[in-house]
Amino acid sequence: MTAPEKSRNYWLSAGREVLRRPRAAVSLAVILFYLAVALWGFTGWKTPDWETENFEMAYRPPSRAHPFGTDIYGRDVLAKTVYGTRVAVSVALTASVLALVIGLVLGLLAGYFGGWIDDLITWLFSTLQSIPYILLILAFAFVLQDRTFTLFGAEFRIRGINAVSLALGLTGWVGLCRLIRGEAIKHREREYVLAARALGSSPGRLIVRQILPNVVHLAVITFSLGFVSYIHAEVILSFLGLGVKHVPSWGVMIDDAKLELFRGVWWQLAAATAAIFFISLTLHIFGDAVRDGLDPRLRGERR
Amino acid sequence: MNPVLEVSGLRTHFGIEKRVLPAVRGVDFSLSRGRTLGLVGESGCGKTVTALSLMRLVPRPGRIVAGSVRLDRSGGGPLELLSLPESRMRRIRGRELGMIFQEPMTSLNPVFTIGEQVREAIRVHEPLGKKAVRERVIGLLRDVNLPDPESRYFDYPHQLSGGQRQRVMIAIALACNPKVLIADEPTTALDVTVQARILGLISRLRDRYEMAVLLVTHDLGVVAQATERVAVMYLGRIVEAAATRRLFKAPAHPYTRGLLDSVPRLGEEKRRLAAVRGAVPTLSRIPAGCSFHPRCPRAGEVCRRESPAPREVGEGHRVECHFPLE
Ligand SMILES: Nc1ncnc2c1ncn2[C@@H]1O[C@H](COP(=O)(O)OP(=O)(O)OP(=O)(O)O)[C@@H](O)[C@H]1O
Ligand SMILES: [Mg+2]
Repeated sequence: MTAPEKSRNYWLSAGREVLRRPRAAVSLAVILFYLAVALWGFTGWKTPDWETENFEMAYRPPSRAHPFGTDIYGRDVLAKTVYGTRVAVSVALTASVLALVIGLVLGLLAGYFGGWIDDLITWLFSTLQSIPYILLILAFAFVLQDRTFTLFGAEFRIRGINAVSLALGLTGWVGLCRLIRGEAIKHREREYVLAARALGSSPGRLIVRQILPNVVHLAVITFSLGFVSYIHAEVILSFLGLGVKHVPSWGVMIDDAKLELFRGVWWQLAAATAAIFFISLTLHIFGDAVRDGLDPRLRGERR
Repeated sequence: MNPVLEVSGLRTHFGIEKRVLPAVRGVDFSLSRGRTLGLVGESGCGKTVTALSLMRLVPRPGRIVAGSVRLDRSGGGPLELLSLPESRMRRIRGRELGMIFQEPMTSLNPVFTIGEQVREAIRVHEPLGKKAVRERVIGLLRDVNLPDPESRYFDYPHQLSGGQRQRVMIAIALACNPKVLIADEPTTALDVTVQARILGLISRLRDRYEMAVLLVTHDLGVVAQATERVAVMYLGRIVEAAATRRLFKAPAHPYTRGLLDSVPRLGEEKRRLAAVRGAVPTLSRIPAGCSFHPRCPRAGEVCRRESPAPREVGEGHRVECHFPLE
C-alpha cells in the first residue's frame, strides 16, 4: 500500500480523478458547450432565426453571413443546427433521466429482494427485450403520439418531441436494470451488507446507503452512453418522420439532405453529421473516464 | 449472576429442495455480563450459523426451526428474540447485540471512509447532530486504539492494515453500546502478534462496556487466551462445555481430548497432529446414535444406537458422551 492520500469526499476526488486526463477534460468542455447551446435555444434570447424564408437565398454555400450555408427555403443552416441541438439534448436528457430512474430503482429492487419481485421485474424486461428495439420504439412513439392524459388533475398533451422522449425513456431502461440487478445480487451477498444488517439497518437504508454507492458508477456510465444512443434514436425517428415535425432537428436535416446531395448541396448534411459526431465522440470519451474515476476497485488499485 | 443472553434448544436447518441439512441441532448456552464464552469446533460444525441465528441473520435457505434466544432486559422480563417481528428485531441488532466478522477487508464498504462507516453505525439508531456524531466517532476510534483517529477518519478501508480494519469493525460493533458482542473468528485473518493485540482489546472493552462476549473460533490458543468458559461444538451440537481452565486440564469428551492433542506444544517433541482421526461427516449423513462415534476411539455398542444425554461431570462441566474421560 502506498502512502495514504487524504481524500475528504468521494465525489470530489472522483471528479479530480476524471479531469486529470486531458482528453476527458476537453470532452467535458465540448459537452458543456453543447449543453450551453441547447440551453440558449431554450431561453430563446437572441437565438439565431431559422424560420424566416427567403427563396432568393436558397442553397447558398457557406459564407460569412451564413457560415453553414442555407437550405431550400433560404433558411440559415447554422440556426437550424442550433435549434436541432436543443431538440436533441432535450430528448436525450428526458429519455436518459427516465431510463436511469426506472432502471436503477427496478434493478436495485429486483437484485436486493429477489423472490417474486425479481421474477416480476425480470419478466417485464425480458418481454421488452424480446421485441426488436426499433419496432418497440416505433410502437411506443405511435401509441403515445398525440395522446391527452390527466395527471394530478392537470391535462397533458403528448406531442411529437415528448412522445419521442417518453418512448425512448420507457424502453431504454432495460440494459441498466439488468446490469444493476446483477450487481445488486453480487453486493447483497457481500460481508459488509451483512455487517450493515447486523447493525440494524432496514432494507431501504441498506439499498440506499450500502449498495447504491457501489453501483452508481455503472449508472453514470450508462447514462452518458445512453445519452449518445438517445441522440441517435431521435435522429433516426425524426428521419423516419416519427419524431419532431415542423421544427428543425438533426434527423430532419439529414432527411432534407436526401434531396440535396445530388445537387451538390452538402453543407446541411455536413452540419448535422458533424454535430452528431462531436457529441457522440466526447460523450464516449468522457463516459469511459467517468467509469474509471468512479469505480471503487480501479480507484483502490491506483493508490 | 443473571445471564444476559440465554439460548436453549436452538435448531437451524438449511432446506434445499426436500433435503434438510441440520446445521445447528439443539444448542444451549448462556452469556453473562463481563464474561467471554468461547465457541470452538472444526470447520463446518455450525459455529457461524449459531452466531448468525442469534442475530436472526441466517442466510437463505437457512431457517431457525426451533429453540429460544432470550435477552435480559434491565426493566421487565427477558425478551424472546426468535418471536419478535423483524422490525423490532432490527432495533435489537446493533443496539443490544453487536457482531464482528472474520474478514475485516470485506466487512467494510469500499466506497466510504471509515469515519463515515462508524457514523452510519450510530445514525442507524440515533439521529444525533453532525458534531455530536463526529465526536462520538472519534471517541470510538480512540477506544479501539486506532492511531491518529482525527485524520484516519478520512481514510478508505484499503488504506488501512488488516489489524486496523478489525479495530474499525470493533468500533462499529460498539457504536451503540450493545450488551452482547458476538465475534465470529475476529482474529483468524490476522497474523499472530496482531491477533493477540486484538484479543486483548476485546477483553478490555468487554470490561469497560460490561458486555457479554461470544467468541467464535477454531483456535484453542485463542480460547485459552481470551475466554472464561468454552463450549465445544461438533456437528451442530455442543458436546462439552466447561470453565476454560477445567476443560484444558480435564477434558471429558473424547472429541475435546482429540482437539487438545492436535495442538502442538513447545517441549513435547512427537505429538500427533490431527489427533481426531477421520473426517467430519456431511450434514446430510449424520451418523445415528452419538454423531461422533465413527471417529471415536472409545466408542462402544451403545454409542451406535443411542445419542448420549447431557450429563454433569463436575461443577459447570457438562458433556454429551456415554463414556466420558475421567
Ligand atoms: N448458505 C448455506 N447453505 C447451505 N448450507 C450451509 C449454508 N451456510 C452454512 N451451511 C452449512 O452449515 C454448516 C455449518 O456451517 P458454519 O458456517 O456454521 O460452519 P463453521 O463452524 O462456522 O465453520 P468455519 O470454521 O469454516 O467457519 C456447514 O456444514 C455448511 O454446510
Ligand atoms: Mg464460520
